[in-house]
Amino acid sequence: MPMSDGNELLRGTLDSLILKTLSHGRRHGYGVARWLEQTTKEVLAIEEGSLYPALYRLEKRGLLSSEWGTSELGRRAKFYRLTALGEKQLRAQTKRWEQFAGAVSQVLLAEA
Amino acid sequence: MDKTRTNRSPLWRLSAEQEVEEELAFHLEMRVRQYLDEGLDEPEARRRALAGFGEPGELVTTCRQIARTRNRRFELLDAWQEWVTDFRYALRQFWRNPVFSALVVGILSLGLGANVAVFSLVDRLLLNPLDYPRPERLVTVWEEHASRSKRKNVVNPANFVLFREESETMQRMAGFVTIDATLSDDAESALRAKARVVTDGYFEILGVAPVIGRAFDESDYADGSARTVILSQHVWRGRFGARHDVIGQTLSVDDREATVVGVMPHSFGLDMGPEVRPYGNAPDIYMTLPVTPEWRTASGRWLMVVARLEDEASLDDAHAEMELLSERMGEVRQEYNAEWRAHLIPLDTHLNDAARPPLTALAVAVVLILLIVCVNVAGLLTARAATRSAEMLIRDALGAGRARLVRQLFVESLLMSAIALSLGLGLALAATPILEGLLPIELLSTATVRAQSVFPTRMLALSVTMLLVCTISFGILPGVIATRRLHHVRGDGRAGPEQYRLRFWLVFAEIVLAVLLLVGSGLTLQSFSRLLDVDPGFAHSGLVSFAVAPSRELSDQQLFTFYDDLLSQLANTAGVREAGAITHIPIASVGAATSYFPLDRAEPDAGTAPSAAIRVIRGSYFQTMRIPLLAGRSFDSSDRPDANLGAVVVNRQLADEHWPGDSALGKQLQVSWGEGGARQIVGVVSDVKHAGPASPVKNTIYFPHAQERERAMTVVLRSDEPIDAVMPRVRAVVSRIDPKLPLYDVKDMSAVLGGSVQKERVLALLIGIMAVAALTLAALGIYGMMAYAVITREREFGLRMALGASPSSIATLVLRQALVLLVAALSAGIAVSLLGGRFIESILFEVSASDALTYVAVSVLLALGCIGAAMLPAMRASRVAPTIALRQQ
Repeated sequence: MPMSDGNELLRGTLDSLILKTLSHGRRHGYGVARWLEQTTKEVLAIEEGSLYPALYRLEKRGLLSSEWGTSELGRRAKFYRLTALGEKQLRAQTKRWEQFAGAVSQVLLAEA
Repeated sequence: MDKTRTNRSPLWRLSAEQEVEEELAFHLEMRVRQYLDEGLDEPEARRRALAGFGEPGELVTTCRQIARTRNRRFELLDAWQEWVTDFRYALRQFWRNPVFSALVVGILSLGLGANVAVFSLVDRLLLNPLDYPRPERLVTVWEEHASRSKRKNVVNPANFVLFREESETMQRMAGFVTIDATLSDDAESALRAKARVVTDGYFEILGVAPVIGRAFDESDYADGSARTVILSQHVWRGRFGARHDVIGQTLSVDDREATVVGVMPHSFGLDMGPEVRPYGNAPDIYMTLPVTPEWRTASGRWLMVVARLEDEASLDDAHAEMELLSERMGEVRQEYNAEWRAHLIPLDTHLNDAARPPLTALAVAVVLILLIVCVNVAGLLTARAATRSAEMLIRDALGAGRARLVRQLFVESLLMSAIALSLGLGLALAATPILEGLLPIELLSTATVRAQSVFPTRMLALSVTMLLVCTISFGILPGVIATRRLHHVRGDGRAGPEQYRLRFWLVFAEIVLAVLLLVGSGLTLQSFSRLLDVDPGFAHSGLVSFAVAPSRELSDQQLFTFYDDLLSQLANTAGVREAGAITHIPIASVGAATSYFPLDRAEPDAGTAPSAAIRVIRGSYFQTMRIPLLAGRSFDSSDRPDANLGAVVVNRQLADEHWPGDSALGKQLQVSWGEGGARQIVGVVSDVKHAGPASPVKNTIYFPHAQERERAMTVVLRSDEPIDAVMPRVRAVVSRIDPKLPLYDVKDMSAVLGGSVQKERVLALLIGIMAVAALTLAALGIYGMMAYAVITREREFGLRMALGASPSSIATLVLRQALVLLVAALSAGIAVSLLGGRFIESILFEVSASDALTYVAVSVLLALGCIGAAMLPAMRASRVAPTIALRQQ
């Protein structure tokens, strides 16, 4: 799998993470960030400066859809959910990650 | 695409800016709470929360940008989705009502197809530029006499020389004339060809170079030079097998040798004669016509002139110069040119003169049909829209909005139009060759010289334009009307007075248009039948003609004997009743004319002498043609070649013109023909229309062959048997007399006569078909409207009957409605027809554009049709049971 520079890789991975997060149900932006932090036990801390552009781009591409709803606080918040297209993309990207991670692991973690 | 994009739904519509702001503000607040929960104090919590945002300004900007792009994209996608939905819906509607859809598409495709077919023909024949370089610079020059009605008179050679020398607006000018010549070479039998003899400059003016060899140059025009000839493409192919070594070959033209120097391309050459005839042909060969010093003093008018304007000269300049040149003509030869003027006509205009009126009439008719079709379809669609009012109410309530509904109906119309257009194009493609087959050659003669039309793009553009015009006119209008005041619509499918009024005006328009077409049809039909009734002056059935051109080497005496033998043997041939000969037969050929004057009057001033058609006849010509002899005698053996006073026979018109009430026999004429000198009138015959039924009778002077020896003559035979049976025997006779003599231009005079009215026949036929279609559509329109009106008023009728009205009075009520419409529309239609009558006069023959019979017939026909159409609904109305009406809510 061709890999350009670190940014591309990061952005692509972030997109996949967001998609996966939303596959569990709709969330607002803060909800996505929190979930990722908690699930990875603070290993992955997403900066808002990266998160929101990613969310907007994903929506523009049609992988997410957004709607206004009421948050836990009772305030109005913008919720995202996965579209059918997004689900398809998530599956494809998960598979690619498996292949990639598997290959890298094979090399890096092999007995000398 | 998730369809619930409530992010942008009207209730929650935020701009991109607000959206980003609000979302990020929320996130910030949640973070702050999170840190507060984790035990930080407020200022610290807030600081840390903000830190996570990095450069907030930049973040906001980035997000806004993406949001805006996203919004735009969504809007486009939404709009597209709507159109797709509309289209799918339209498709469903189309299939669910197959009969209705088929009807609409059928009518539309006929209208569209007819238009495309006619306009592609008009395009090919009239609109394309001639296939010469800069064709708009080409003009033809003519003379015109003050008193005679002929606008395009051929030119006198001396005047031609004058124009050529003195014109400054014309770059180059050439004269030419087309004559018959016999072509022969050793290999094959002789061919009777049309030879165009041209002065220098002819080919250069038209700007077309030979495909092989060269055009004429100075050496060909020099005194005493060998004769040269240029072949046309079809003679080269037909007779010389398209061989390239034909250049330099000699052949004999009229028994004199000539060398081939060039071959012209296919598209070159057409009949440019002043009267475009059904038998006008492109020239077969070209030869030189040197301009000699004798031209300056020559009399007689016989030259055709074509010229190319100087680059800087405008057409107006050239016209103005013609005025000057006309005066110069008068100065140089005052007597000869008195009352004559010169003028020019652009070549394109001149060639189109014959074709333009009928094609224009056809184009107008076909546009009318399209209009009627559109109106009809609009009516049908409006009616349908009314029945869908329930559906529209619901959709409106669901938030569709009026614009959306109108668009929906528009898409439905667009779908039907598009289908109709494809069908129509197919129809047009099929119909075009049929149309071309019907139309006479004279209309197509310019077609070969016109650039091939860019058929696809121009026709496609026209078709698409028509499609859009039709769709908009009948697609939007019913939709707009149908959705007006939706809340007034009753769910049971009746939309009340609005609908009725729209349909009223639609049918009104239809009837007016139908009247126009019907009147046009009536007039052209009458025109045609009058033409058929015209007596051409001779009996054409059973009449056969063919031409012969004996060799130039025959002496006068031999020539005389030849025709003697020929005619007497032919008369004795089985199946032949009589035979005669003439220089030019009526209708199928153009004959000569010259000036004359009666000797018992004062000699007229030069240039003012009357002119007559000249014919030389032999044998029992008049009997064969069944041209009645009105006084005196025909020619006989007493008319000897050496007689002092030549004999002539004149036609009745000439005799009546000069000697009304008196006998013309014995009177003498001075005719500028042959040796000149006085001639004595020995007989008067009935008039003959030389140029066809539509042409006026010309004064005619007949000479006896004994006294005016002509070499080439056309023989006419009267036979009871069909032409195919007789001709072989005729050929046998001819070859007995001279085995090598070709016999050509065999014609059946009945066919010739029929062909001369072909144009009027086709026009009457086509417009007639369209008129019938228009009448049917108008009747259908009335029927539909009345049926609809009756349904609307069912309750009212029921009420009336319950209150004691008789069924017939109800029916009368309905009929009266129809009558009002009919009378109003008919009057309007007649008024418009009368106003527009002027334009149609150019294609009519002896019928006035305000011919009363036509208008009366049209009115009666329309009235019958419309009343008939309204009968059925009227009868249904009278059968409405009162109880039914009362039961309805």
